[in-house]
Amino acid sequence: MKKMFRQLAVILALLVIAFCLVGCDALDEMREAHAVYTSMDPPFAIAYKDATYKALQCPQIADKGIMWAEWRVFVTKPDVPVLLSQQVGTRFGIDSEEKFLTNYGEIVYVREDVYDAAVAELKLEDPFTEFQLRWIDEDHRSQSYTLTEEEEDIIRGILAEEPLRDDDSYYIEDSKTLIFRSETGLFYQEEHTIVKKAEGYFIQTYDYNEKGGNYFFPAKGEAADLLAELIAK
Amino acid sequence: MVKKLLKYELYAYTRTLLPVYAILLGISVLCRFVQFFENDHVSYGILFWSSVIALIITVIACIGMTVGYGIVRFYKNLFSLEGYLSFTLPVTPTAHLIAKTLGQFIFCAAAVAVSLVSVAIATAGEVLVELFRAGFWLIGEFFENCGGHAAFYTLVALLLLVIIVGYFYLMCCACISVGQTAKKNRILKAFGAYFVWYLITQAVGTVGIIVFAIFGEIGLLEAIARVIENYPFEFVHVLMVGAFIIAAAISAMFFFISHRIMSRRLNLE
Amino acid sequence: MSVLLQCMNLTKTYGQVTALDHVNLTVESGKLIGLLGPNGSGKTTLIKLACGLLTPTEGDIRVVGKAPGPESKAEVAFLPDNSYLNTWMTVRQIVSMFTEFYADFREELAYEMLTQLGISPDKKLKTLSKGNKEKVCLILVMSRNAKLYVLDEPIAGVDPATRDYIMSVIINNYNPDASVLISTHLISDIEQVLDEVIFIQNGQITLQKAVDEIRAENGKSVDELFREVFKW
Repeated sequence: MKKMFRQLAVILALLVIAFCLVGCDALDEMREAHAVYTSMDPPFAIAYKDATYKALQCPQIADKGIMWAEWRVFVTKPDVPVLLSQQVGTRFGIDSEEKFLTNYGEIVYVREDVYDAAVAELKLEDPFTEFQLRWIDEDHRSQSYTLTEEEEDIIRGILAEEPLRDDDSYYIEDSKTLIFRSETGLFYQEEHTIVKKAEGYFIQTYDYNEKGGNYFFPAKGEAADLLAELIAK
Repeated sequence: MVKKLLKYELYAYTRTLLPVYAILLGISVLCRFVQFFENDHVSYGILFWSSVIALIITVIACIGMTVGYGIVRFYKNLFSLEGYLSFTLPVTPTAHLIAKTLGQFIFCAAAVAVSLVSVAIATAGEVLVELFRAGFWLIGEFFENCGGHAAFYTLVALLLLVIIVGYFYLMCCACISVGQTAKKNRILKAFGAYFVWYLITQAVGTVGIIVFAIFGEIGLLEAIARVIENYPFEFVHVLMVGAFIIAAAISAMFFFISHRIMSRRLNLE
Repeated sequence: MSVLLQCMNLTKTYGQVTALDHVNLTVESGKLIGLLGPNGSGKTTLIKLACGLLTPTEGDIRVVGKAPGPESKAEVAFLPDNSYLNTWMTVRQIVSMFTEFYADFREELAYEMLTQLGISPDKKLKTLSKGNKEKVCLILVMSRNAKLYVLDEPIAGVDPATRDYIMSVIINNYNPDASVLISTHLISDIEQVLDEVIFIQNGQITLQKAVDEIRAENGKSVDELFREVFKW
């Protein structure tokens, strides 16, 4: 009996050792979402995935939204274990290029390599320089595509035309959001949507001014092909 | 004599419960083994969660069986045929009760220990390391927030755990003993005794709530809120120590009831 | 001679039923006593009261000069009429248990008797036949050096050869300064070894006399007298 117990104990110990060699996806995901404050005193900083994010005072400015973020990072003090990071930590949003961390207060944490460029953009009256397509994929992850200069020219060409006023949005077959953003991505304006309707491809925008209402900029020929390509991404 | 009785109690428990503990450890090994095949496929999810549920159910069954076996053993060893042996031993009823209660404590602790080991096996590896880290961090936070009170809370909490096990076990023993005073349907009477005790506790609780509500209308609640605000740690001290004293007193009462019946009203037929 | 068992107005009732009715009884040391009576006469009740397994409704009982308790139980060896041992234990474990709890237990004698019977000490009780189980129970009781042996129906339900063996074990192993109280209704089988008999009927002692006296006074055996007294 004792011999059997000893044998069982040895087998159990070997199994446990073998088990210890195998990782855990859920834990890896939690680690992916865990960031820590490297400095609790000013100037504040956060460490996330081997990068340091420095605090940047970023007041809310009309028509200048602070980048588009996914709420998937939990920031804690350094000593907090990863298993408790989501219970104890503060939820932060992060952009798809992982340049900015924000909880939509007045402070945005900017990745070190982008910090100086962000500081420069803060001082600009009109920092918006490029179009970016944004959508959510099947895994519910945010995806983006920055338009090339040629594609931007085509988009600007479409937007230069006279739009059609139409409040009827029911027959939109497909759409993707088109934002106008700063070079670093710190600022953006979400003004347009690329839409596919039965009548063709359009860039839709909403007028928030006195008149209000949906406006559709039609695309023809090469412009329509571009919109089709962008919507299919 | 208590030591000798305890030795045979532990024999009996080991004999019955060791296979259950072995099954629990086996299921934890299985649960961990399943995780070797971790992937995003839905079939893995089904397998993994099935193994986790099986583990949880087995943990509950393990602890439940330990408690249940203790109670059944009390009845069988003292009030069935085995009682002829137990009550002809040169041993006092006190020794019997103490040995049985100690046996229950030991094996409840063993059941909890085996359950923790099974969880450790099921999470062996990175997850276990992180679990320990989280556990130590929480303990650290507890001690940091509560300061000098933390050690006292920990001690009283442990004592409370022990007394709760004793309370429940001795309550069941007292109910079984009361049942033995009946001429027939002794087990039914034991359940009846349990039901009566349950009603008493419910009635006392209800009366307590009503009294509390009445006094609450005239400022008791505000007074309590002020006390909690000004002396939060001391308030918890009082609550915990109070609970311990009440539980200990009621456990002693149950002990006395069982002892009285075993020494003055034993009728082994 | 000392008084080993004394009952004074001993009464035991179960609701409306009176199992023992104001029994007065004295058992002295150094005797083999038969407690004889028909079924339901109160033999087992009296025995259980002496062993502390029942509590009297009225009256008093003293065993070896003490009220039934741990001290008296240390000096009384009781063999009930059914198997009361933990069947999951081996014979060796039961013998160890008796050795631990009873200071007067003679372990070597127990193993000697087990060997004579061919019962392996490493067998679990539940694997033994009914007859062997009863023999083990008897060996455990008779291996004690007690002051009072109380045997409840030790020869009921066993074959004649086993009966003879049981009687020989009783006679050869009990402490001569002690007394053996044997409850039975198979009188003819044990009459020749008894020193004294107690007749009990409807919870009352109807006779307590030496066997020789009964034979001399009545010109009959105890068995014949029993049949006459307890005739339907």
